[in-house]
Amino acid sequence: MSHGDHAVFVIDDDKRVRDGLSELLESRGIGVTTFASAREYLKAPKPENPSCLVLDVRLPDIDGFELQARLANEPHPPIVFITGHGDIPMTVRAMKLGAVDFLAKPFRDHELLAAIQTALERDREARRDRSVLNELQGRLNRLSARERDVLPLVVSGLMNKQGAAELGISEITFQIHRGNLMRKMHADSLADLVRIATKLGIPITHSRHGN
Amino acid sequence: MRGLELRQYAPALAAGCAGTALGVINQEPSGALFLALATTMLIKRRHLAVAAALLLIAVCALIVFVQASGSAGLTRPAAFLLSALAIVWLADLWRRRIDTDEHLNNAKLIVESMPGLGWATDAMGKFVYVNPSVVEYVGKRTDEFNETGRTGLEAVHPDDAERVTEAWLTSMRTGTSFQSIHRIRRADGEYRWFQAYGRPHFDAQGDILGWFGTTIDVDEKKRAEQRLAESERQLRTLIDTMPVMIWCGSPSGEPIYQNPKTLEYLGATFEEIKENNFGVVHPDDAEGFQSAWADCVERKTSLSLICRLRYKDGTHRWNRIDAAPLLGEDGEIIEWYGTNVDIEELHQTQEELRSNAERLRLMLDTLPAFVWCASPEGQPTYFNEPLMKYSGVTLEELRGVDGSGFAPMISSLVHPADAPFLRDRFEQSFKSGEPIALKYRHRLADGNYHLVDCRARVLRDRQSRLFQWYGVIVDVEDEAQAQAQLQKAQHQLELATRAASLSELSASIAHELNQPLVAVTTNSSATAQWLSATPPNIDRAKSSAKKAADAASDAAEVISRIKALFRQSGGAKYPGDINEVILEACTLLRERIAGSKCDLQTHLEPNLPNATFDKGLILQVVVNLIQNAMDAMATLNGAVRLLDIRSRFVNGKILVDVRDSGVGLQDAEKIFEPFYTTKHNGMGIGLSICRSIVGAHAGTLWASPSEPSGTVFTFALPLSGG
Repeated sequence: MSHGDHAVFVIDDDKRVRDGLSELLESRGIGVTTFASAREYLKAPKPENPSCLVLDVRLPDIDGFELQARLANEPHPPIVFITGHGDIPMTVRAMKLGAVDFLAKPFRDHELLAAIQTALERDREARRDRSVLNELQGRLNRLSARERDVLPLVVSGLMNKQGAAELGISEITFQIHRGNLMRKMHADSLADLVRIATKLGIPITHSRHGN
Repeated sequence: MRGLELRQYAPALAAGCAGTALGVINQEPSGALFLALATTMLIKRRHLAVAAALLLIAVCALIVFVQASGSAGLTRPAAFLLSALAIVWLADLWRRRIDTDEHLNNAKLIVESMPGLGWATDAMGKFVYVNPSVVEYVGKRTDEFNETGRTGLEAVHPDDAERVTEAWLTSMRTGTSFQSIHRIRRADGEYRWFQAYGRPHFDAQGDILGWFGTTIDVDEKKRAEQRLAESERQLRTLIDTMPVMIWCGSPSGEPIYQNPKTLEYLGATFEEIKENNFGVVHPDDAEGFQSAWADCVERKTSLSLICRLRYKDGTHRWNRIDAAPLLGEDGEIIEWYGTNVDIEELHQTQEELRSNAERLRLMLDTLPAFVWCASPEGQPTYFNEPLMKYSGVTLEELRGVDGSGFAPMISSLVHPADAPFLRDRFEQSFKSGEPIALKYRHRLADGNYHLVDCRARVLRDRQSRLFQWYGVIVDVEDEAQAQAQLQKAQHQLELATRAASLSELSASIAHELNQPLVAVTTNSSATAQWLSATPPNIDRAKSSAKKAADAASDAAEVISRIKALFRQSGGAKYPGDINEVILEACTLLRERIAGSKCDLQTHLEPNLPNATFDKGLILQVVVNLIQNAMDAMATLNGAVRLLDIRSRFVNGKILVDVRDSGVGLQDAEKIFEPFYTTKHNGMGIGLSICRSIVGAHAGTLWASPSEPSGTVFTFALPLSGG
């Protein structure tokens, strides 16, 4: 692992803790950026790398839970909570909201490192999913308006004749659109197209057996 | 007139005498011609009797003197005798004539000297005579009247002419007297009112020959009547249009008149009311009204009562009915005059006021508190029933006690030992108008004393002068005893409290230690990693190891500080002056305060009573609060950093305020939770420990917002032996 392909953010208001964590992670070759407050973190630029957030619960101004809640509606690094005073309700709450782990201070270094690895892995996957989706979305955007009409009919399993009738066009024309559509969406088969459509959230609107 | 008369007859007499002389003296037959002439003249003037008498005299004279020479015997004496008789007759006629003249003269004088206008008309209504008053008044003569052809109407006021004509024609037609009141124009053009009265006179056949009449000036009377009628009309209009119910009644009380407002109000016709005068009165009031009315009628006294009358919509409304009898000279009632006034709203308001007052009185008398009022000078003006019972005095008795202002209240009701203090406080408050709140021992009806809480405020009038003092006294004897019990219990609880604070303390200590411990473990782990790398990163390993060591010494410092804290507080509490502790804390923090650019102000109440406390612990609390205050203001840019420390003695407790002018707190209670901090490097003992310490001293610590900004932390400690 090198510093370039990931990032770990640490937010803790105690400088000694921040320094200790930096030291620990850097000695393992993990890139670290530390912040004394959530506000500082929010202002800082974030690299487009798999990343992870080591977050102290008790923070001045915006505390850890509040930051978690604020980030909830956007893509954000998976969170590993650390706290000097944790209890079960706090842990449950953090985990329900998607935290990777909830560590009580003082924690063992391998516990923290494991949690950070899990978090980075999770982010890496999430990013991969997001990029695949972005790619598919890009392909979808490249479709012509008519091809976009044809797509749901095809993935609904309608036969060419039915689809053509539905759109009021000839079967031949429908077939041409269908061919273009398959090519543009990089779909090898109908099954492949259906899988792509499902990822893109395109609903099945028609039934082969009529409505 | 007589002269005139003689002159009229003179030619006839001259002719008669001439004829007679000629006949007698000259024995001329032509003398007969003169006689005949005289006779004719007399006949022409309708003086037949005179003519006959003169002719007889002349004939007799002729016979006597002419025939005398010729004849003798019986003829001459007979003629002489006849002549004499004729003379006598003539003389009689003459006398009667004179009498008549005199009568006429008298009558004329009477008519002319009458005060009114006298007149006479012929059968057609033409004036044949008007007395001088008429001429003088109208400025016209009889003939002038008639010349107009309007039979005297010319001078009558045009508006009255028709009426006069009508009356005249009626009189003409029926032969009855003519009567009329009308205006007649005076010579100067002004009209005055006259009353004319004329009586027709008839001939033997019953035909009207003419009228004699008088017309009397009734202008003053008429105008007075008119004025009267006008004022009566105005009065009636007034009565009828006034928005007041007015009515009249007969001496026996029967209704005579009800003005339209009354009828409209009652929604009844006069006949209905006349039929049943008491029908409009509310059934519950009718009997009382009837008897009161009958009583008034009998005793001829004014009536004044309130009762419900049936309004036009069928509801009953309260009315005040006033009536007064108009008494004649004989003391009998001529008429009743009355008014009804709708006082429904007033009555309702009064009822409401009465019920409010009653409710208030009931409330004041049932309140489980003693209520009193006093004049601005302190003279008691009201004690509620419970207070009088409680104290065993009445307001009157209190007022009877010697002394001015509040002295009677104090001397009668306050324990002698509390009296001077109370007197001072009251004197001060009654002068300044400041509210009173104090406790004292109040003398009960049975002579015992109870501790009471007395509070009073003053009501000011619009000029903000003191108007009335309102006070409540609450018996807190039970409460005071309960308080004592409670304190005993609290004392017993103190140990338990200490135990509780110990757990908070340990949590706080754990927190303070965990932070450096994290640093120790992470840095140690890093050190090992740097060393085991190939090649080993010695520099980084050194740096990490140093950080670990620093963190470990931080942890050690925490422990030593906690140890120091417990060493200082040997657990022993001694009475002491809190001001000394505050000053010591300020001295300890002098440099930090100077460095923080805070403006330290201390307001320490001198001569504070002693409190019992563990000096080391309380010092820690004060130091912590001051540090908190400085930290709260550390982020202020340019704003005033005011650190204000006060001590004061309030309600038997010593209070210490540490005030900052920072941004203030969001949650004044959350800060006391063991692991709550708003600070970046939360070192030192937490507010939760401060609270535990103060609690262990039977005191309280709380935070509240400060004006205009910031927070004030206050702790209160009980007095020694309190």
